[in-house]
Amino acid sequence: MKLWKVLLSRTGTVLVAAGLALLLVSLIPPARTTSFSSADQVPPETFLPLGSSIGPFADANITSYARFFSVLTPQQELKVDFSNNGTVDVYLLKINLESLMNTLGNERSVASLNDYLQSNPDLIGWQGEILDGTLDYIPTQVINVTLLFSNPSQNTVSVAYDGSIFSLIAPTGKVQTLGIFAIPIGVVLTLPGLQNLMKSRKASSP
Amino acid sequence: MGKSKGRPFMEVLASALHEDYRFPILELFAFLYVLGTFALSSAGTFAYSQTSLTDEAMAYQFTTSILSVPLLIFVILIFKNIAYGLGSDLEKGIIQTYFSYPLKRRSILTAKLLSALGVSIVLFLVFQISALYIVAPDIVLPQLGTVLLTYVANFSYPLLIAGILLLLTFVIRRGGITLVVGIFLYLALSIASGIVSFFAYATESTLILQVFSFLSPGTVLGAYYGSALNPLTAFWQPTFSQVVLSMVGSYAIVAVVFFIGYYYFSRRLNL
Repeated sequence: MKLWKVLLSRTGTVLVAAGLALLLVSLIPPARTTSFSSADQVPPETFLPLGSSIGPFADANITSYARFFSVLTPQQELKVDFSNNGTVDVYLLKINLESLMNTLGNERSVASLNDYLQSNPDLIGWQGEILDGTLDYIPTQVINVTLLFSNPSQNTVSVAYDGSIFSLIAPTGKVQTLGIFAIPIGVVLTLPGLQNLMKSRKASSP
Repeated sequence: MGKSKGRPFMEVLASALHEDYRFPILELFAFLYVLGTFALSSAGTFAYSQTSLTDEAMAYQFTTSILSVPLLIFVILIFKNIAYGLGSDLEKGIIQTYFSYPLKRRSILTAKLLSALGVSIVLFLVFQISALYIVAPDIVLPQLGTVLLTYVANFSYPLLIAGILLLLTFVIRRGGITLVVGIFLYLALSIASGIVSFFAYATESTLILQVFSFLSPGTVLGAYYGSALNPLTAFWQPTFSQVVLSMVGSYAIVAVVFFIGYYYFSRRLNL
């Protein structure tokens, strides 16, 4: 068999093996490490960072949020379900709560937040307008995290959230996609070598 | 001239590759590399309060966290190729077939080592760096230099043992025994690393760590990018020039061992 065919088919079989391993990795379920849930009122034209309205140790959930949910790594997934009585803008910012509050001071207006985010767009990890929905976020680096609600409307909005942090081996979606692509590509690369092997077997059989 | 020498070299290399990576050895190790990198990594353990680290230190911590088990798999593969593969060639007299090629002995050994070490290193790095990129592209891409430096530091002592195994294989000419010796040496050096760290911590002496770094420069790199998890950083903060010196020294030792191997194979090995 020609050398290029051997190299191609072995690259193919290696890709198939790697793809199978990736699919196996994607089957390992994420483990829930932290959960938190609470409800807040967001006054009109103001924003509210999660965990800032109640003092430390006053609420078990918020304490848990502040202690464990201040840093996210690429092997952690944050999922938060929201159930609000009005639409709010939800932001996940790559900055810790203390630094954010030190920067913004006591100013809680939506306008000041928008000004701040316009001058620091790289701090926005995720944003969305949510009435009832889910935030699902896996960072690509180790980051400080602050979740906040911004209410640009003229009415007070009640927000209820139920969140969890999962520990991951790898981003399941990415790994699964790579595995799904690697296997057929590997099989295609293996074909010329396989064809030659079958031909040589036919030729050698009586 | 170059072309006429190149073809036999490629033939020896192809034959060595065929012997070292018979189906499904390459596929099995590729599977283990991927699975070991993701499933058996300790990457989740550096989760909390790590944003205080510098970007380089974070890239180092992340790389080492996925390194341990795949490095062991890599060591098994290169030991198998050198001790068992080359040992069997010597034992069964296959190496004499290679001597019939119009090639110098050192070229034959280079082809064998390219197959045994080169392919293993490439396979290892491709899967590891791809895995790092999949999980944390924003840590890995800006700090690719630190990531590669971490691999260079951690490859040193497996390569040193591989060089010693090469010499032993030429002397003993028994693949099985050499493989056992290699695994023993690898475990002994790992245990020695723990003892040296403990001894240095107890006596707060950095001299023993500096000497040991010439065998295993991963130790000095770990202290350089030290985190709160590394107790040695309490009394040892090496400079980057010390890291470079340890790496150069370490690879100089590796080069000397391989040079002796080449010399023995070219001049002293009687078959």
